Amino acid sequence: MTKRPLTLLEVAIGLALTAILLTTLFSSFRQMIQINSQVRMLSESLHPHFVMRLRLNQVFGRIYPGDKLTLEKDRGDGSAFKFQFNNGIDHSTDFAGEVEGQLLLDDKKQFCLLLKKKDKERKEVLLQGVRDVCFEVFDPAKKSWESELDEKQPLPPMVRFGIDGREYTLFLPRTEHKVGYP
Amino acid sequence: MLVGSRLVKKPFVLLELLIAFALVSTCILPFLRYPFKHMEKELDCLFNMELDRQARQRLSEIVANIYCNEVEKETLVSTDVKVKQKKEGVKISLPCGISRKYQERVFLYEAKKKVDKNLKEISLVHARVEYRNPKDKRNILASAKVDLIVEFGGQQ
Repeated sequence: MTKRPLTLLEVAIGLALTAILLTTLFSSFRQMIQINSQVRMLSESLHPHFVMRLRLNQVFGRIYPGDKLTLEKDRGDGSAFKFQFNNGIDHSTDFAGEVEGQLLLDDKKQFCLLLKKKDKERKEVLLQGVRDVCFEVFDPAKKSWESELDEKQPLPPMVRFGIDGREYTLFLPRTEHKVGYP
Repeated sequence: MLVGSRLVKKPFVLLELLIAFALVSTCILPFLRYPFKHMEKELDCLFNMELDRQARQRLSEIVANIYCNEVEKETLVSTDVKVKQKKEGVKISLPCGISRKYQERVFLYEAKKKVDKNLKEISLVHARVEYRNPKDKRNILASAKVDLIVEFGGQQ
């Protein structure tokens, strides 16, 4: 049997088919890698915010009438927001039940929840790499968002805080303010 | 191939090999769908988290408006639980710039009502914000709700 040589047409068709397939495979692979890295970065930045919001929802949901809640004029580090709340059952018995809480931005640029009870202190890091934090409470008497709240004032219905330009609102379900309509 | 009594191996033509390679590669293509689907689901999850935040922001605006008496009394005392405000194509963006459009529904109605001993009307008003998928409007992706005690004829 004599070997029939390949014609140029056969080689060209074969190469064309391979090229089309490889182009499709590589472009989709490249696209997949790009989207994947973008989604991973997003996920890494958004998940801590979500966990922080869940924790703060839990904390603010446990502030009862009679608990102290004060917000002093914002000094830029958010350290002026202090409150009392019922921490419920905690893994450390030292911080179970009624505790004092404070939201602050520490010197390592960590947004923290500081828990205090008697002479003991515990810092929970909520977010890392935070540049600025600001707080506001809704005052129904003044019908506006205020950056100061006296401990003698009743519990506000809402607390708003901004972290690096992203706003979050938390509701205090046990607010003492009723809505008054004429 | 049988030539006389000898078995002669017929060599493959390059074209045959390439066609085989092309067929195998075509079979691989459907498997590329799974990583894409996985990423799509992860993006959905991120959008749901953002929608949840957005729903609370929107609800806080509505609650602030109620406290400021900017919502009409008729709307608050209405016991009709139907949607009070519906917005199509509300754009929700993630920090990296990816955005999607959703349907926003606002519910505001009187859930309970009573008259106290001073003949003052007190209502329990329910406010809720929902975000739905515009393609599947039955699917609620995120919602935020709050109940407010409203005193009529009371202090403003």
